[in-house]
Amino acid sequence: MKKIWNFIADIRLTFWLLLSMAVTMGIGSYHALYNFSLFMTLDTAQIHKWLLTDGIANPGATWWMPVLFLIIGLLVLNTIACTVERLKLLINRARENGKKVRPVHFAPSVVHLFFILILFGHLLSSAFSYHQRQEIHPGSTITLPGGTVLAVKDVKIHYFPDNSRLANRISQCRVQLADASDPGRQWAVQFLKPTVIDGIELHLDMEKKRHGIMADKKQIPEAPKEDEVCDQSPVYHVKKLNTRNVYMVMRKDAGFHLLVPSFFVVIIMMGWYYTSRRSSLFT
Amino acid sequence: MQNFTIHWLFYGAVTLYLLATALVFLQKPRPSFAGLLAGFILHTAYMISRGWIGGIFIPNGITDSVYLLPWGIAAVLITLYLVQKRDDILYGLLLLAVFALFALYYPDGMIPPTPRKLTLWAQAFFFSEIFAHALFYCAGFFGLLSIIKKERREFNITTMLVWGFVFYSIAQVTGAVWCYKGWSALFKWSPRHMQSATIWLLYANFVHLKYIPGWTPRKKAIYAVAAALVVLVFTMGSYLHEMSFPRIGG
Repeated sequence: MKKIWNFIADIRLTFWLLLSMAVTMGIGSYHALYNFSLFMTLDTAQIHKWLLTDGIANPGATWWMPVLFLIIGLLVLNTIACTVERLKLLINRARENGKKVRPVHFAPSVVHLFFILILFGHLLSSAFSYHQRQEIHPGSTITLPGGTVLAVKDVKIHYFPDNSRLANRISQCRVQLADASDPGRQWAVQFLKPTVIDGIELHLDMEKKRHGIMADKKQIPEAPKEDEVCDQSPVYHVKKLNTRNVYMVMRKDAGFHLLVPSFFVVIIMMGWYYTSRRSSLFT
Repeated sequence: MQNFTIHWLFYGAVTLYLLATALVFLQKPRPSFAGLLAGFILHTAYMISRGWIGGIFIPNGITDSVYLLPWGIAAVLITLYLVQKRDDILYGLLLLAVFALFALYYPDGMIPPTPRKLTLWAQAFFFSEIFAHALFYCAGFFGLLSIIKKERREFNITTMLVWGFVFYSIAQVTGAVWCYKGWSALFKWSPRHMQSATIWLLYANFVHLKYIPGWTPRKKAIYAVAAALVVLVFTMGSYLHEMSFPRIGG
């Protein structure tokens, strides 16, 4: 048992696990690059369900994912064991030598514990988040998972000033929402300014413009009939005249409240640890 | 006329960087440092001017990675030279010259920002990421020097990489918050996010090396070079991809 524990708590194991995780992620990034549309669906799906459907259906592109999860599992065990060993060492040092252990010496252990929380947060986000995307326009309605019906009162697109080189390009979009059963309850959603209603976050999304096509609202060519066009890009261009398709993304991220505070704790602890060691940047 | 004025600031900066690089190989470290400093001042003026490249002030022009990276490398080299007072730090000008020349070849203008890119979280992300990259590249370069040249004292690449790792971790956090506000997710299974995670893991691994017996400075230098090459391959991929994007002010 002791042997197994020592093996799990070995920092050399950390080295190999981190390296193999990096290599696996690197390989995965190329699979994601060449199978972009496949992996895009993973962003909005629950990962276990996705793996059992799309994952199994595309083994050539997704084989690295189970490998990655296995490595992450082992890394969590290794991190826990290493952290326990380090804490034992610090406490024993304080007891045996009667030396005072400075609080900053605990910072790496705190970083490692929060690293585990971050991995756990990502697991929650990937497996248990709710995600729904719906096209909206003035007059349409959105039904939240709790049953609340929201009416889209207005969709206002703002452009950069006409006297700038960005004239005719979208700078912001503001969507005004109202509770269908109580019009007095109103909310506004903008890009980068999501709003929370009944525990569901509402984010704006807009149809992506293809590269090389300028979104000039004033210089739009006459629309060709759709059935005359094989290549969809001109149609796309014309359709987006003043009314680019606007979407509402409804999301409940199961790991958000664990992840964001953990991120900041890790950064603060790292900064505290490295600055207190006086390992000044260039000495 | 305005474009002409703005971009010539950068051409001037690159000329000074190249001059400084030539001077260091002619064993004239002080004039070389003066050239680096003058180039950096011009480059700083250029980066600030890029904020107005769209006709109104938008910081996205400033944080264009291809132009900000040589600026970050120059800032790191100047700080290293002033603190460590070592002339051989100026050999890093070779690295700076390579990235500055690449930026010279790159389209001048700015990719028009979408509404989701108009946030300080994006700027915080790009600044911290570029400083991290600058430190990773410098560590890789000095690591390579310490492998090639033998009769010199070691460069402290570990400290560079540790601080590069701290900056990169800050970039991961600011990037995640930006992604959440803009795209409603803290992490996406996209090549960009996965490659960022790969780089973070490689350097997280490096900060553990000092606890592993047998990792001599030479071995660490080899690791730093290899990791810097990974950063180069991943980032160059997206830089080259973005060359075809429509731009304004170029």
